[in-house]
Amino acid sequence: MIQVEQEEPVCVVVIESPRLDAARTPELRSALVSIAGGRSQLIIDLSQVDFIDSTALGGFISVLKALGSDGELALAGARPPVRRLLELTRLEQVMRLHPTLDEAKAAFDT
Amino acid sequence: VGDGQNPLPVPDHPDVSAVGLRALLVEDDEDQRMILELLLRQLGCEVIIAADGREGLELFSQHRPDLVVTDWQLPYCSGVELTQAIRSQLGRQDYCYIILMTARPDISAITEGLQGGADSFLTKPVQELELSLGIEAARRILKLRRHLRRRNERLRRAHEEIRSAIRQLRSDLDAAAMAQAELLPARGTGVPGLSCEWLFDPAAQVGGDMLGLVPLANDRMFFFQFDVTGHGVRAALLASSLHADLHRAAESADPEVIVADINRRLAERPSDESSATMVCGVADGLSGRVRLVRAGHPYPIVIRADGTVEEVQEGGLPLGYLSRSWYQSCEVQLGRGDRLAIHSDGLDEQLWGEGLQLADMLSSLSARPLPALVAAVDEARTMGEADDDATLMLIERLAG
Repeated sequence: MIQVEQEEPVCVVVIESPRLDAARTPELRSALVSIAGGRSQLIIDLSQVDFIDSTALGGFISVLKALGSDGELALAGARPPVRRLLELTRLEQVMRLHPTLDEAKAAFDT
Repeated sequence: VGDGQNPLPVPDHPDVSAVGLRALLVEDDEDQRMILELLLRQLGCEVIIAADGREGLELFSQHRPDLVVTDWQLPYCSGVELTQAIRSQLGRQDYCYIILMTARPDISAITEGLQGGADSFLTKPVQELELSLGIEAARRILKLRRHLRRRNERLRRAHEEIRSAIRQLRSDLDAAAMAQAELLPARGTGVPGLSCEWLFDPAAQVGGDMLGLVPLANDRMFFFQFDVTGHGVRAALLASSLHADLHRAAESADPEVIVADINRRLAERPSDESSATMVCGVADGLSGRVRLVRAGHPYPIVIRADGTVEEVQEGGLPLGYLSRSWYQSCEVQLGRGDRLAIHSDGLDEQLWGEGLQLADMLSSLSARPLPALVAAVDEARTMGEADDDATLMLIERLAG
């Protein structure tokens, strides 16, 4: 379901499942939270995801918490239906949203 | 009546192997009968004796043995006829192992015997080893049958328990659905200058969506709508508790504080990932001014009297994510005849299923009075197995 694409300089996780809903969130949450543990920065690539629901958003919040109080989480490559939900729920208040993975990586470099 | 007939008690054996088999021996030849009776006793059977087919059936009815060993050729009726009579008496529920003895075990005799309901055959004169193997087979099969019957009985009882549990659950859910429906505002709730209408349809009997309208002093009205993550009983319980909190807090008429309090409370619930999206606010019937807070909920839609629509996009995170979230209210000015629509994402999905957008519908049907408008939206939704609750609330600033 997820693939760690790179470890350094910032960890990038690619979500390979097209649907993130209540049925998949528990597994996704625990996988992502264990990757986030001990790190303070993480990029999640959503470019292969067509649908997410509010439970999956809650999963991203769990990841953010696992990154610690100074942690930074970025979501990259969200497709239009996913981006719509991210905007509706104002997730940009607490995590970075980037149109592409390259832009997300570049933002962490600077 | 046979010589060695035993007055046996009514059969009620719990276990064949423990107490031995109760056997009915039907044989007209006296010498054969004595030998077979002896052999059967040596093999651990209790033996009942009959000398002909008629007596055999009579004693069978009386004693219901586990096993019948019968000669083929008998006075009054043949061994096959006796077998058929026993099978029809037992029906499908009960069982008895039947061994037919014949001096001519050719293929046509065996076929006739099997069709009549016999389980196995012995060739006469009967050898001790052959009989003992036949009795062993009977013992195994009878044991298996009893085991099966006990298991079926247990299954039947378990099934009955499950059915009754489901009946109980259904009636509990019906009661919960009624309790939840009672939380909804009365039809026609409003204040001078403001009229309201709503649609509420939980996906299961009870749901995580809820709405409320609370008239306040000075022609103001507190309104709210929220959607707790998930649906069903778990979501409905949290929805009921949030509903109570919001009603208690309505008097303060301060949506920013109310939403921040609920967010903190949800975020601090231990071992619980519950979250909710919400819109709540206060509408003033005199001035048409509305102050509202949106927390992750779908954008409220303003429908002007001329049919133009605007989305209210200001807002913050869903409730329960982060306890330090802040929520800022925004203001909407309703002119006379303008409307404010608040809805849950479940309604969006049901309309998308039909290729419709709520904002477009509300705009094109803006000439209709509120009840007719809500009825039209209700009718346009995808019917069938909805998998999310659907809610719509409309507030109109009256023209006159």
